[in-house]
Amino acid sequence: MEEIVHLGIPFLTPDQWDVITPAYKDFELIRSEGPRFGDMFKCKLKSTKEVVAMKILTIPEDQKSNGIPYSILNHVSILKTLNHPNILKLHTVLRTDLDVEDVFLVFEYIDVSLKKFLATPFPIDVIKLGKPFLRQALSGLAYLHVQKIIHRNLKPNNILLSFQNHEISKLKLTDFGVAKSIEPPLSPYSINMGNPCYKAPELLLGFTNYSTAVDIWSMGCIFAEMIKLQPLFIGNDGPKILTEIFCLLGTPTEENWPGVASLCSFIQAFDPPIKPKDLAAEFPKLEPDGLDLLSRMLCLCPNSRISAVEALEHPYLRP
Amino acid sequence: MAGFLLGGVSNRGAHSGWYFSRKEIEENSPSRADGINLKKETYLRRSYCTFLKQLGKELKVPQVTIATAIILCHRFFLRQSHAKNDRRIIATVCMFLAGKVEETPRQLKDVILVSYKIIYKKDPSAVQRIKQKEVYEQQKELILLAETLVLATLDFDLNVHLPYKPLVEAIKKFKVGQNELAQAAWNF
Repeated sequence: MEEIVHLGIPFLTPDQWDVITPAYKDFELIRSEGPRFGDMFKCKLKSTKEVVAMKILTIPEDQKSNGIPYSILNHVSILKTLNHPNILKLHTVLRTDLDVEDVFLVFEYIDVSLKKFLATPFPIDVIKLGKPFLRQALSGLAYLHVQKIIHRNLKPNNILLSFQNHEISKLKLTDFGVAKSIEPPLSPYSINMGNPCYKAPELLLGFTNYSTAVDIWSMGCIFAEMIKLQPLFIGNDGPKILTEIFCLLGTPTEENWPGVASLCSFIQAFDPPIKPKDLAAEFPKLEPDGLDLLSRMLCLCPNSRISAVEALEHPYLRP
Repeated sequence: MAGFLLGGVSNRGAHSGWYFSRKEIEENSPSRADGINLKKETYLRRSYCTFLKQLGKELKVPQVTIATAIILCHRFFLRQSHAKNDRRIIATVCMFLAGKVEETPRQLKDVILVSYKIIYKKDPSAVQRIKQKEVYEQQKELILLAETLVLATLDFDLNVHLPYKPLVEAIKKFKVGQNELAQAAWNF
């Protein structure tokens, strides 16, 4: 699911062009995440000249016989409920007639994803940006979690930024394609979505009753990545990432993650258990308050992990 | 094959679009503007609720899905008129959508067959008729078209917060009435 950046005119079918050209112009592809996730491109609203971002959700051929699939209904109806300065705003939903079967989402446009930002050698002090970044990102996350929504796919690709005078002027969380609203009755949740590098240990270990804490973990990984300028945990699959996690934070014990360490054969395989590393040595640039917050966001046990609301009250983020 | 604009209303944020005063519902509904009086609309409303309960029962969906379908249908007719929309087609679509959002999906084919049977329950030949390819295809096209209309009308806002779970929790917490009350709540 790597972001493929290739600027140019998006490739659309004549039917798709028919839908959007009456009201929009100046199309430019921003990113392509493959057919399942849809292309994102930038364009201009003819009437107001406002620049917007558009995403096309195509209904898979094999699902057309059942109308609009659940995944798209879920995606759009979650977006509809969200209204917060740190969440990318959905302006409009366009839909074609029955023969075309695409749903077009029109969003506000924000310049750059965190992923792109981290990849370019900007003359900006990432350490200085850490606090405003986390404050805004966690505000968006706290709002989501109060609405009982789990994002489930936070990664640098899905955090959009715009800058003014070398400071973050806007930060928006985006891509609610696999978000989940926690509504009773709680059925087992899928654990297969999202990039493994940012996945919480409870997901990687296969627990299906996870909660909002998985987003905090991802945000902790992202924050660490901003400081290190490379992903905190690197690997293609769950076991590899779990091993990386344990190498940094130690294997879970009965004390810090009750009930799990003794039950999980994957954890028991680490014999003798790994001792956690000193985070201060791993992140020499980060001040003590920042280290403390990072360690609470990267707490192995989801029940002890700090919540977004608590994190916003942490000394590191207090103005 | 020009596309048409759906849900062209801008996002108004959480839960804002669905609160109406009694006066708005009783005196200014879209149906009223088409000459359907309050008594008639109340009848139509009750009629699609009964229809949905039966449809849900025959499709074997949980109570929650039926309740969601009823709310979606109520929402639809707060913005659209009974004079221009067949309530049973709209109700069928609401059940189909509710099945999807409550993660209790039913195949479109089953929804169409069962709904057709209930709509024409006084006509014994209906059961055979819907099994003909042309009749089925026509009904399917109608339902899929209506799905687009319902989504456009509801502006894709399918978020329904049902009171069942919190109520049952509250009953447990306050230890009142216990079973009878919980039972009454579920069947409401």
